[in-house]
Amino acid sequence: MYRIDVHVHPVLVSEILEKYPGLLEKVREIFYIGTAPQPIEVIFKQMEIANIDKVVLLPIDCTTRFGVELPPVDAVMKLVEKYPERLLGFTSIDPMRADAIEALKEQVKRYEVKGIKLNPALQGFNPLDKRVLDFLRKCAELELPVLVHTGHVWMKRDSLEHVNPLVWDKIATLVSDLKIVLAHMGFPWLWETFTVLTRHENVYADISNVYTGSPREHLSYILTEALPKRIVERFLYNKIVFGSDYPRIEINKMAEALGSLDIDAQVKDRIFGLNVGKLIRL
Amino acid sequence: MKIYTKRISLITNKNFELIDVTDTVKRIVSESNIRNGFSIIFSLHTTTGLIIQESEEGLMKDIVNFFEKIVPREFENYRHTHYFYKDGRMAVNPWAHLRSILTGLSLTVPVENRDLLLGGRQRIFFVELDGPQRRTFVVQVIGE
Repeated sequence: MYRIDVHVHPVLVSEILEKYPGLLEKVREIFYIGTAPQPIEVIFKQMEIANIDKVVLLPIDCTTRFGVELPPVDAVMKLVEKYPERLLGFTSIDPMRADAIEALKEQVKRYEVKGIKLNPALQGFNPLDKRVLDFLRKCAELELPVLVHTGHVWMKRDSLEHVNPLVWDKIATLVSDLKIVLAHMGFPWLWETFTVLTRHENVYADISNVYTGSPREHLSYILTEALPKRIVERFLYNKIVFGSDYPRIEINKMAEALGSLDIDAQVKDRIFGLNVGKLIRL
Repeated sequence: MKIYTKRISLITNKNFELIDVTDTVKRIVSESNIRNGFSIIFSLHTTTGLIIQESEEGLMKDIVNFFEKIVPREFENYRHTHYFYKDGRMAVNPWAHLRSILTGLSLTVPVENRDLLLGGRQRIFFVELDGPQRRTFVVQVIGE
């Protein structure tokens, strides 16, 4: 069984930033991250400590709203091709682009795309817009899972209107064969996430990022307190996957925190890897 | 008086790690061509440290254990653990900052005959307190 981190943003990878002058400033301004760029080797070292075999890189195409990809999908996919043992590549296509479906087909033809990353708040779209639904139907047809931001957004610039996990209940009904990962467990709408997860076979959630304290404090809160431990162990054991949200938090810190939680060891194994196997073709 | 400054970058391997940088600092002192004076070794990060200690495996473990005990990672009254708007992320490493206060961020070592004047058991360690990360420290040699 591989242990996999499904939520890594390659926005501060120095090997990519060095090739695109001005990209770091865009990353700071749009993705809003202030920490220092780090070489890919730092991600590999964090994986090593965390005993994580593979990470999923998630670019975000913000073409319509900001005229930029963070970072360019081509650069991410080339990095994946260079390190296929450790990296898996999701693509990101702004679903409001007029050529979204064509671009998706082109990406799939050119690279080994494992899934799609979307963020309604950052990319500025309504998931129930007809163009988005058509795009999602195409993702389902191509058997590509969609990992979508749900839950809290710190930046006032970005709207909370379309990030409640309940939005995806309707989409999971309309496009029932689409595999969907609700990022961040939809925090703080954890019970809404519970509802969507338990109603739809193809919907999952990742535990990425921390909102309420240290990684241990936060994961303990969302997986044993706000949602009682019995709920996670009985209902969500096959629905949750591991994600860090690097560089908003370090991979090793999230893995150590999950490993230290007082929940069934077999459930933790599922979160670290077994459940991901149902989502992503490895 | 001459001043020679060099920045050294390294990628650390662990969350808490002691890295012997004595030979690197000695090389910089030697290439500075400053015969007598002093050297300042300074870290550019607030979650790292610099110390002079004996290089002995058991002692290295004792140092790590000492810090883990006196500045624990989990403590409910830490106030640093909150969202940092300037970073766009949570600060989750108060323990690393507090440990850095204890190690200090700089060292001063005399320079004599283009070499560090160190005791027989003394080695210079760069201390990673929140790794792995790419880190930089500065060696500045001042003298004649």
